[in-house]
Amino acid sequence: MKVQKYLRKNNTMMHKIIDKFNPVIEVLDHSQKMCIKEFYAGDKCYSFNNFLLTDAFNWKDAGDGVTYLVFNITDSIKKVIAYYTLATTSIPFIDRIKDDDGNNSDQTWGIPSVEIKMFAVCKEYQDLFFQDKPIAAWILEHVISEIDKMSRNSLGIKAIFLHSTKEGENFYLNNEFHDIEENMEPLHSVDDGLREMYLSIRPFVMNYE
Amino acid sequence: MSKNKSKNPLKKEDDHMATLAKSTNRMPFVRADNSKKFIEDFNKNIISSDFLKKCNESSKIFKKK
Repeated sequence: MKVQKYLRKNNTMMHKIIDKFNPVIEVLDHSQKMCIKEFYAGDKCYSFNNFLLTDAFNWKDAGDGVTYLVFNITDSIKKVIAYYTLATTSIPFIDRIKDDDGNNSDQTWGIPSVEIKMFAVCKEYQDLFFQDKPIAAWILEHVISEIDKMSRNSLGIKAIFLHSTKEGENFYLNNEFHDIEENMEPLHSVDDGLREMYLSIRPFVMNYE
Repeated sequence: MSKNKSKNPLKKEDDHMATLAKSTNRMPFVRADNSKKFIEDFNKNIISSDFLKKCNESSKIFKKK
């Protein structure tokens, strides 16, 4: 309890609240090059700072992911405060079934999903709150809502999948994401500090034919 | 920017949310031994209607161009 009280007090001292938050979402295109040059997530976020300049365009052209810029427009100033990149994917799993002769047979299935491939917030907005929650939470909730709408209107989607950074883990856990590491086996064994997480948005039913 | 301080009791670990998700060439798969439990968990963990409602409300402040 003492620790919780300390953290609560510490956090109330740490976060600042902005009065105005007027977010606009735009799909990345070349006309925004001047704005995206200014995106800065921090000194240790080199790959995230540079992603928008080249990779994001290459990914879009190659069908590897579409990047959405989050602008905040206040007092006629338009600033890129965050971005996220979405792509379709599939969470693969192996189902073991018995054939008519009683032999085990492994079949590979996939759960249709959307992957949040990149998600970064600029340094200035990292600890900022609007009303009762951080800017990052506002953006994530918007992304979840958009994907849910897609799954109802335009594309079959049952889950949102992502590789969380170390600092993002608790953020996602607090937003109903779940860890799937214990059930999974990586195709490439790389200790990159990223953690696979998912949020299911529709049930998955096995249809054996 | 207001000098008001947030009263939201977040955990300490929620600070510094700079880079939240990153692409990697590692795509995991669920092993056959765990797939039944995984599907059960998957279906049990479906987004709550309260949270989805909250997401839809939050989304209203975002304008799309």
